[in-house]
This record gives sequence, structure tokens and C-alpha cells, in this order.
Amino acid sequence: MSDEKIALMAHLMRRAGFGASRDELERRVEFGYEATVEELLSPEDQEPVDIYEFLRYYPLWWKPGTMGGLGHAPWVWRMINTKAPLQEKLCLFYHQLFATGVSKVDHYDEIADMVDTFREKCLGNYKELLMSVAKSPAMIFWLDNHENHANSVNENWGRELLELFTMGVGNYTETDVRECSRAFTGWTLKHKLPRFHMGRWDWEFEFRPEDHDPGEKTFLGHTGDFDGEEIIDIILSKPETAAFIARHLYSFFVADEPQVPAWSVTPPNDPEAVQAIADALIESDYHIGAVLQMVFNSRFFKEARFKRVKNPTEVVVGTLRLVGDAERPMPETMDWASQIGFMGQELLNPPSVEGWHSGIEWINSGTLMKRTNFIAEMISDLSRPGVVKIIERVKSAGRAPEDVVDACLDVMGPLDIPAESRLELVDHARDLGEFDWDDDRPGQGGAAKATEILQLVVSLREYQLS
Amino acid sequence: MLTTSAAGRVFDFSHVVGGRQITGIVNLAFGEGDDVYIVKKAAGFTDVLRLSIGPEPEDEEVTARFSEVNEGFFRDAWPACVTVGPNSDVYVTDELRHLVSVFDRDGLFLRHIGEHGIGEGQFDRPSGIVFNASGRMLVVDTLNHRVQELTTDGEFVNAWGSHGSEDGQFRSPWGITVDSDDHVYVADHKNHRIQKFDPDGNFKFALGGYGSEKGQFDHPSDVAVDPDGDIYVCDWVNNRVQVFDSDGGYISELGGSAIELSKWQKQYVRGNPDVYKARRRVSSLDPETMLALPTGVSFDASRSRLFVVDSQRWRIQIFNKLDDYSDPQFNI
Repeated sequence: MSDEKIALMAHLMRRAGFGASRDELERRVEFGYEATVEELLSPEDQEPVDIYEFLRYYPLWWKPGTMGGLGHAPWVWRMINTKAPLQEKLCLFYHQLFATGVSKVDHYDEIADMVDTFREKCLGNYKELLMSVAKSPAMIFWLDNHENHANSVNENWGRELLELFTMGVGNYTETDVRECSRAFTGWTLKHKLPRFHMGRWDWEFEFRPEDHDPGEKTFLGHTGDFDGEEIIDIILSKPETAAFIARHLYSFFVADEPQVPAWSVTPPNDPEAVQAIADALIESDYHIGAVLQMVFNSRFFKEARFKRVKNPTEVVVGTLRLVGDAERPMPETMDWASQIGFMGQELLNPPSVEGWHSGIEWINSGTLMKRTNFIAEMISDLSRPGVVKIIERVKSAGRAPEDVVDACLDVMGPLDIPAESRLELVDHARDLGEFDWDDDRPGQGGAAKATEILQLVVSLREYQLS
Repeated sequence: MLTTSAAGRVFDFSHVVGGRQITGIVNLAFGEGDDVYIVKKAAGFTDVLRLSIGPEPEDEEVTARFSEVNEGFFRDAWPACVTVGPNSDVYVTDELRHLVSVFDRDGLFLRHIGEHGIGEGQFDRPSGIVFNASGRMLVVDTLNHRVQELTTDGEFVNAWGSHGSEDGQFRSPWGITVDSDDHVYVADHKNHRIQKFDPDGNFKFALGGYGSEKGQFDHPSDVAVDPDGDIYVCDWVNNRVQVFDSDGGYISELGGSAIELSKWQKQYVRGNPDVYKARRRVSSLDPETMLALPTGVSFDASRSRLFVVDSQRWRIQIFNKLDDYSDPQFNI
């Protein structure tokens, strides 16, 4: 099986999923690249994760409230166990795009409900998703649309809809913000029962016609008595919107872009690719599945290997899927969910409506240590079935330090690293002494030594990239 | 509906017990007199409590907290289900340590039974537990997909079941009970059915199947049988208890009838003006009456009462099964 085909499949699975073991990559190469893309785009063909398996052991996570910063644990467990990884990856994409946080909403369950909506609609029409977001109780409370009244307009949702969710700064005026916000007056929340005497209750969207401003509005050059849905139709008819969404897709799936606030003054790194995605959005009438099919089969995608810094969720979930023995709900599940936050991405609680700054900003002296320590601890645990399989592959390369290092780099990527880095690894491997695969003494045998090389490999700059 | 009548049975809602002091309640078992033991599985509050629950709403009191008797005991434990043994000792399964913990009636830890494994007397996430007429415990060995029969000393007697969906096989079973003939009923959780066995573990019948229609289940969590042979199935994800006759014929369902708050809940709401006002501005209090992911069902034969563990609402809903009921005057 060619190294190139394995490398390309590994790239696809890192981006459209959370990585894959070498066994899975080989199976998928046999299956075919395009067939794998189709499978990833068809989550309905996979057996869904039984979330009740998690709730049986963690019953209070049904409506976890604020639950010690761990309301996202069921989602993390789902990501670890899913057979439809692109679906969860898209949930992550939309959670980053439509960032809402428990720091204000104060109900993890409402934000988790929003993620459920992402899961349901992620590969469909962007307008449908946007409409669901506009009616999402978490978003309404997060951006104060329950305070947006016919006689007292609150522009928070209207502004962010234009600035962060669809068009980007520079493509609308302050008047457009005002008129947009007027169209969403009366889009609010039904009162719900208080939470403290018998647990939490779901919020529900409610349209109050008596609190809606039905008057004439002039928005992005169009005039009429628009409501919220008509405003969204106008927004989606603008090429600037397609370009903005395209850049988000490019930044998440293809290659890191500058942070979103810089987009109005910084052109895309690959304007042609972004334009191609924008064209696909318009041609498909914003059908995200069709657009991603084009992206994953494009040359610009296939050539963009290791052009993104892995986000913390990719680090933790990808590592656990690789090393295995993480399928059961267990106390460690909570710790793993915490680790994602320690690395700078507390799910369901982004720092602001802008979401997380990504790319190189994921890395600082603290988060780098958290990342490498977590992966290194996991990858050296010889009780984990995934690690055992990795060691079996490394063993087959022989006993020479160069061969062991090359096998480790191959099975963990394949990773292409600078010659000087490889030499340092080889020197270290040589210092460890002979790789005696028949010696299974803890800390001294061949397998234990190989895990030390693996620990160094996952600490490399190149391993932080996707 | 507060009074549910079907096929000659009448279930009359009695009252609610609980509140935040039993957050995380997942299972219960009856002890002597008014004693009821409950298992709480809640972050930081995992515990086994003894409550005293009398016939009236005011008769509700916590009389023992096992975590106070055995400090730190539940820090690394996942208690799942509870039952009371022949000597009034309290047996609690532990899904994290894969064993059964035995306590005296006041909560003092006595001994462990079992360990992690697949052999005889070993467990992989044990859950449901009950004593049979011979005074031996039947333990649902969930992830070994079997039922084990053990003496009170933990000596292996019998086991049945394996992983699968055929008669007599299980997928992650949970609750268990025995009837007055010592037949055994198991909530075959991920096969979405209840299976009945004779005392030796021979398959008798199965009822249910996946769905939300009458007679179907979505991840059943527990099962109880009353002295008449009526079967109560805790239909977890469908948020209801379904009632069947002894042959498995469908009778009715109970979706929850809690029109009044418990003693503690009333005190809390009255003591917190914002909660009081927020509760009065909603269009309906109906959602408060309903079961939410119930995890346990037990029949108190001494008072002919059905207890339903309404786990997500931190309470127990209690129904009286009436045998002397007559309909009220029609045009009253």
C-alpha cells in the first residue's frame, strides 16, 4: 500500500474526523478516498452513539446545569465513540461559529440542545441551520434577543448575525444593523419553570406578535415589512455572505486563516480556494454537504496537509480514539473533558461570541505543556489496545534505532519532520540501548523504550499540526 | 390523571417525597416499617440514605446518611442499586469497584462481596440486586450480561445469561425483581424488554420491544411485581411506568401525577420569593407532574403502594393500588 495514499487518507481523517489508527487508514485506502468522503458525508448510515449509555452512569448530565465546568462531558464522550466523525466535527465547527457560553446562559443543557441541532442539520442547508440558531433559546438569551422589543430595539443579535454569523465587518451599515434587529423583535422565550426545587426545564422559543415591529424596513438595499426569516433570505442572497462562510469553512477544514476580526482588512491566504468554496455555496444553495464534498475532493484540500494547528478537542478526542479503552463512561471521562478546557477550549463555554481564537493562538507555554503531557501519557500506556497495536507495527520495523524512529514517525502520522529533528530522535533512541522486543520488563523492555520515542514524537512541533 | 383505572386495577396518586436532599436518586428498596433506602448518584453527593416515609406527605424524614457513618466511602464509588437482606442488612451494588457493599441497617459498612472479572462471583459493573425466597441474592452483572445468584457470604450458586438478543440473553441488563413464586424478572435494558425466568434461571417469556407505543419500551431501567402478579416496568426514556398483568398483557401506564410539591419542595418555594413568582408566571404547571427518566420502581406490599423513582426531578412519586375503589357519582 503506497505511503502517499496512507498519508492522504490520514489527512482526510484528521480534518473530516479526529484521526484514525493505521488499521483504519489501511481499510479506508482499500475502500477508496472518494468512497470514504461519501461515507463521512452520510452519518445517517452509521449506528448512532447511544447517549443513554452515558446517562445511565451519569444521570445528572441529562440537564447538567452548570455542573462544575463539565456540561460538555457527554458531547466529548460522544465524539470519542462516534462512527460518524464528520458530523461531530461539524458540530464543533458550528459551535465555534455560533459561539454561545454557559458563562452567561447558565444552562449547559440549552447549549447542548443547540449542539444537537447542529448534529441534526450540519450537512443540510445553511439557511435552515441559521433559522434554528435564530430561534435557539441559548442564542436568544446569549445575545439578548429576549430584550429586543418593538418599542425598544436591542441590536445585539442583529449585529452579530451580520458581523460574525454571515457577512463580516464592512459589508453592511449601522442602519442595516438597526433594521435587521427590528425584524427580530418579538422573537423571544416562553417563561419556564424555575430550576431550583426539582431540576431544570427547557426553554422554548416563542414569537410574540404584539412585541414585533411589522413596519417597513430598508435593509441592504431592499425595502419591505420584513420579518426575521426574510432578513436571513436577503443576507444569504449576497455574495459577501458566501465569501464569509467560505472563509470560515476554509479556516476550519483546509488551512488556518488569521483571526476573524482581521478578515475585513486581511485577504485570505488562498483567495482562489475561498472563492471556489463560495461559488459552491451559491451553486448548491448553501447545501453544506455538497460544499464539503467539493472541498474534500479538491486539490487545494489535498495539498493542505499540516496547515492547521490542532484544536484542543482534536488533540484529546483524537488521542483517545487512537489509544482506545475510552468507550465506557468512567470517571476518567470527566477528566478528559476537563483537559480540553485546560488546553484552552472549554466547550460550551467559549470566551466570547467570537468563539475561540484558533491556529497558532492555541499554543502558548502553558497549553503546549498540557497538550504534550496529555498525549505523551496516553501514548505510553501499554495497557491500552491502540498503543499495543502501534507497538506491534513499530516492532515489525526491526531493532535499529533509525528504523524504530522512522516507524514511530510513520505510524503517528505519517509525519515528515526536518532532518535535524529526526537525527535527535535517532540519537535518543541509540542512547536507550537495544530495542529488545522479547524483553517486556516495564520501563526497560523494547516496547517501553519505543513508547519513550513515541512520547518524543508527539512532543514535536509537527505533531501539533493537522 | 390522579386516579388511573384500567382492567379492574385502580392506581390513585398519593403524594411526592423528596427534593434537593435526594438529588441524584436512582434506586430504592424497602426496609423495616417505614424505612426506605435510596441510592444517590450525584457529583459530590453520592450516597445511600435511609428515609422514613409514612402514608402522609408530612411523614418524610432522612434518618441515616451512610456517607456520614463511613467517611469517604462513596468518594470512589458508583452505587447503583440497593436491596435489604434477610438480616436487615443493606446490600448496595457498586458499578465502579465492581462489587457489592454490605452495610447494617444504620449504614455501618460490614464487608464487600465480589471483585472485577468475568468468573464466578466476579462482576463487571453490577447493578440490579434482589433477594430470592431462598435468601440468596440475585445480582445483575451488567457488562457480563448475566444474572448471578450468590449466598450472603458471596459464595457462587448459579448464573445465567450471555451477551445477545435471543431468549435468555441480555444487553446491559439493569433492574431485577422476584415475584411471590420466586420467578425472576430482569430489565433487559439495551434489548428494550423485560425477561421472566423461573427460579433456576430458565427463560419463561419476554415482553416489550423497542418503541414508544403501548407495550413497547425505550431502555427500561427497572421492574417490580405486586402480590397480584401485576408487572410494573420502568420505561426510562419514555418517561413512564407501564403496567402488565402476570401473563404480560398490557394494562395501563403511569406518566406521573405529582400535582403537589413534597414537604421539602413546598418549604423551598415558599422561602424563595423569586422561585415562587417564577413558578406562577408559567402558562401551566403540568410539566411538574410528569416523570422524567424514572430509574426505579418498587411495590410496597405492606401498604399496597407503588413507589416510582423520578430521578431527574429528585423525588419519589407514590401511588396507592386500591382494591376497594368504586367510581364517584357520575353527575356530581
